[in-house]
Amino acid sequence: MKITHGFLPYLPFLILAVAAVVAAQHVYFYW
Amino acid sequence: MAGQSHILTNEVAPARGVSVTRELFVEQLPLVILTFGVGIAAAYWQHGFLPGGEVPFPLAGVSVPIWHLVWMGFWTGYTMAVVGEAAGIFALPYQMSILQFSSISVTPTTQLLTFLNPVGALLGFHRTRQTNWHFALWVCAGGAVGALIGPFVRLNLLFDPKPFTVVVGFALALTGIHLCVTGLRGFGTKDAFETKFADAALRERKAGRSPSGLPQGIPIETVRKGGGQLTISYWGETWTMSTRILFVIGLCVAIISSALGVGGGFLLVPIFAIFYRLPIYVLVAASIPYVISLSAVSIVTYSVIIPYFSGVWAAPEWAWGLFAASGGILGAWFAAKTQRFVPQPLLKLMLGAITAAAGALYIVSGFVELPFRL
Repeated sequence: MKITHGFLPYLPFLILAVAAVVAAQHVYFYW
Repeated sequence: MAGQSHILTNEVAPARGVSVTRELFVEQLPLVILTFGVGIAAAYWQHGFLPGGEVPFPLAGVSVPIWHLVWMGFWTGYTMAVVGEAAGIFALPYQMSILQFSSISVTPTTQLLTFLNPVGALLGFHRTRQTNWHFALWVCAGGAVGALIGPFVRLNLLFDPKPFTVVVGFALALTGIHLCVTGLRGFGTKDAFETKFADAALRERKAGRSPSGLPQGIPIETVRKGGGQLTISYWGETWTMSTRILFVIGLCVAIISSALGVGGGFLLVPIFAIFYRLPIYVLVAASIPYVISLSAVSIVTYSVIIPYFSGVWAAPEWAWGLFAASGGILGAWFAAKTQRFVPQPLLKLMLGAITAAAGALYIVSGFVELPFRL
């Protein structure tokens, strides 16, 4: 199995995690 | 033999004769770039300048970098399209709380996003053959009729919609919890479809390929129609449904959701998942066309019909909505391409969490004055 494929079933949760980080940086810099 | 090998292996084969790369560059990116370009043009047309991270969006009253709007569209479009819905349920609270877009324009701006973003999912699922127009037709036909009735229910019967939203909220919260529980149970006891999915993914993984649980290019087929019944099949499983009941479901969901001014996917998808036991990979065939048509009617309702009777009209922040939609179209398409890697228990858990969150917002809105309309 290619290493890059292992994350695919969890992709929605990875995207949500990135969204949380982006949201946190926005709160930090813009609020 | 060809059909058999299709089922036994998930070897990546371009569905409908188009590779994913070609689909991305020829179909999706031009649409995304066009929407983004129209967003820039709309900013100059509406305000005479381009707002962003330094200059606030005038109607929103906040500064947000344009890339953040595109990203917001992408992630909300992705996470909702992967369970067959439009971006609104995530995008509206995110814009209100994190981005602090709390003026009345937030509702029409979000409607613009939820109308445009599922188009990416529709094109993506069409290419993976997860569409079935016979199935979508009855639900959408009911939806079209219901969407015309809903605004008048709102105007004539629901002078105070709060008790109604609280009831809908409780129904959604219970549905969401039920979906979370079935999702969690699914990790232990799988149904026939989920077992097949898990086996296929394991086989692909062992063969060193991407762990897709669904074979590429298998269509959602109409096995039989007529006599008030519709039978569809997907990957060896069949489901028989009454066309009249499909119509009535589309009608009722549309009356409720258009009376509330929302897209309807958050009600329709759990109904199909729980009562019809349709896999999420199959129900998208009806839910994606449904949310596009209901969102279109919702835009007309809330920008023409309601203002005509109430005399209050809120302009959308066009550029904001279009920038978000450009990301949303791409995110929803990406969801259509990667859904086959995500096991159904995970999808149900996500759908349940989204549905319960939506229900909680509706319940809260019944008791506390939220600065935005749900």
